[in-house]
Amino acid sequence: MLTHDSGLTPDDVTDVLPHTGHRHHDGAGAFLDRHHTRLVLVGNPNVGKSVFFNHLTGLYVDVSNFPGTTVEISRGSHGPWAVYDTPGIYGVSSFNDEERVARDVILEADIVLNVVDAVHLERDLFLTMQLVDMGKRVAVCLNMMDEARARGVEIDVAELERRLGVPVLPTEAVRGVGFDRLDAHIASATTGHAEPTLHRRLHDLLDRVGSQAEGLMVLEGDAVIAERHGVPPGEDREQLYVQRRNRVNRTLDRVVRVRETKRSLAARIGRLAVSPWAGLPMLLAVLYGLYVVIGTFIAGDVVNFTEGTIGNRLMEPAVKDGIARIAGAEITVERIVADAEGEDSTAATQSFVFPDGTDADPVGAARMESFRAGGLHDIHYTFRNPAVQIFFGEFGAFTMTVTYVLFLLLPLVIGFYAALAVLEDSGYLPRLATLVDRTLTGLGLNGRAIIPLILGFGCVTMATITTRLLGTDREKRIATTILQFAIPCSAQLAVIAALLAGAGFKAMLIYVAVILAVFVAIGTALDRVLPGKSSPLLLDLPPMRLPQLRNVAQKTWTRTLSFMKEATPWFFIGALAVSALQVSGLLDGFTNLLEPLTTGWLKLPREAGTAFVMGLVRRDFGAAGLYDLSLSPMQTVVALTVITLFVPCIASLMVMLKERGVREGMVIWLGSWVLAFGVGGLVALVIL
Amino acid sequence: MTDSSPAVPVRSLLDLRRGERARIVALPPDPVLRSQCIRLGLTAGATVSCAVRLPGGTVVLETERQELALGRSLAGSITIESDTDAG
Repeated sequence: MLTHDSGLTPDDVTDVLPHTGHRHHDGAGAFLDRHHTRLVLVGNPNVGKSVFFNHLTGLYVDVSNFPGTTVEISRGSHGPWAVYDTPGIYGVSSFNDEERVARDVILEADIVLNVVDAVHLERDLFLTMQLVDMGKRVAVCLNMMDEARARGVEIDVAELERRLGVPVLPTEAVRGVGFDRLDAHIASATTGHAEPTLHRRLHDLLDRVGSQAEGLMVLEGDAVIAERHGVPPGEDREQLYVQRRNRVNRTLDRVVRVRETKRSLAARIGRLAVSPWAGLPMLLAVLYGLYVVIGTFIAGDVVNFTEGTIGNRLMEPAVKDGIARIAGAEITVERIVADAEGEDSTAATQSFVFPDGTDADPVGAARMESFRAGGLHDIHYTFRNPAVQIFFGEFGAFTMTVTYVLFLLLPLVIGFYAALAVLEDSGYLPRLATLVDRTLTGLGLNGRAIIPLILGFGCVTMATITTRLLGTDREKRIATTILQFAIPCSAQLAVIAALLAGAGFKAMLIYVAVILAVFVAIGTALDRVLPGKSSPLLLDLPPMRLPQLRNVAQKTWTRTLSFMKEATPWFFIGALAVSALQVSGLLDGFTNLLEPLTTGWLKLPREAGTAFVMGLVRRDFGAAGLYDLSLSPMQTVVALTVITLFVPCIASLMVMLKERGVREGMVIWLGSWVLAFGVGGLVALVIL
Repeated sequence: MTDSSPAVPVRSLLDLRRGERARIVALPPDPVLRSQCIRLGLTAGATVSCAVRLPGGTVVLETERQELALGRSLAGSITIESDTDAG
């Protein structure tokens, strides 16, 4: 039965950003399902909420942005319920994007399933009590009971139920304990015992605000909700919070008993991880581990196989062969031999022209086949028809882009998201943030920004999406700028490393020094120049635990899917654009335009300009284009500096425009052109 | 019997040494920060102890049963008194 307690009308507009002004209608009404009972999962970060969501909804899950924001809401269905997952939050409020979105979704919820960490009731109960004060129908899952037991934490569940006035189900989500009673438990959700004086005040407000939940938001000073109903926001938030906190503390005193157990191994490791002496070596070990697994294994071995063998050697030629049968093409075959040192070099090259495709010229086709069959070879297709070339040619949307997205990007994204999930679930990530906090505050960020910064080395696009978790717009701006300017993604890194290896140790040193200096300079400068203050680190450190494979896999799967959905279209569009540029001759025109900069200011050969333009589509193309140019070591440093500081790929640009808005995004984008060529030229002045 | 001492210097969480316990006197002035602190149990009158002090000022506190990490600027703006201060 559809029961919801907000006074909304069916065609309400969904725009919930607080700073966009007047919204007299409900924020989430049109976003949430109107035909089923809405079940919303709510809980603090890291309580295991996603396991519940996945259990309820299975594989068919739709992830989409809450309208007007970049916060993602997952939705699925289970029986009669439309199930929504919300971001982990410490409370319902308007303090940041995630809490604002969670607030709007919760206001529209028919039933709230509140997942709570049994080991950390003192942190989690505030949110629970706030939900109860809101008058929502709540069912609580007391999760991680096994861990609580192991740590000697005893909870009087019956007493907790009595005090909250809502049903409480002990669970162990990862092992599925308690899940057999989950459906019945959710159905038994009820409104609980709000704090009595508060409840009376909310009751008095009802005729003006439509629901107890919205009334509470108004009393707690939420300007957006207050404006929706044309009432002034309350000024009592702090008192209400203190009152609620005291109520939580009293409940904890009566409900939780901790047997003094020896500090567990996990707790000791957790403490060491964040300590000044042991913490640093642990950090270096973790970073090294990341480098080995992702940098060497995935970016190296796996990608060499998937991109090199499957993509470049199998899939693309097969597709192009098929097209070449009917479309006019010039096919150039390069026979390759490995010389004594294992280096590949071209033994012989031959071009075959098929004006009407290979099917129309079986004799010529046979000649080409026999030349190919001789051994290892590289094969290049140039199609006569510009349209065919755009879709199936060298930068073809259906050839190169598919290889790039499926065989290069996907393994890397999976690797990085899996690593992130392991770091999160093990409880190490907040400790990592704590260790680097001081360093990052110098750049106007705080410890949490380490997440997008690390992910940036995987894929700047992916990292830009992650900047959403930062506290203020100011920090998002700074982090995005640093990411777009100074962080080479893994696609680029492999090529950069190879080029630097060829250029010598001194070259590598100069390159690293320049990039690091720019990185620090940007952060420091932005911190000085941008108005406002960044949010300080205020994190709870969850207990360290062994990550559960199933949970890691589920998180990785959801995030990878969401990212691929968001970024893939842009790679196609970018490839189309470059292909079109190449076919129309504009690419050459553009290179000519850049020539004075390239040769005069940067002192590089003019073809380097082409490499830069290529870098707009795929960053590794930018770098790889430099291979063929036989640059001197110092020239290599200049060129690599430029492509690193230069804009990241098109997908990254598009995501940034979405996250930061068009105006700010374009400023950052154009700024990186200026920075790249500016710094590159300065370096050239010094070392060339 | 404690000596009656003249005005006790105002101490912040940054002055708390490892293992030392203290009571929170006041939270920082920013209303959003205050609310976020209260939610996590950092209220005026709450007792905390310092678990870790990192060079640079980041602090890890232990409350009832939680560990909280606070950045330097936040730690510096939360004033405390120890039992000895209260006399």
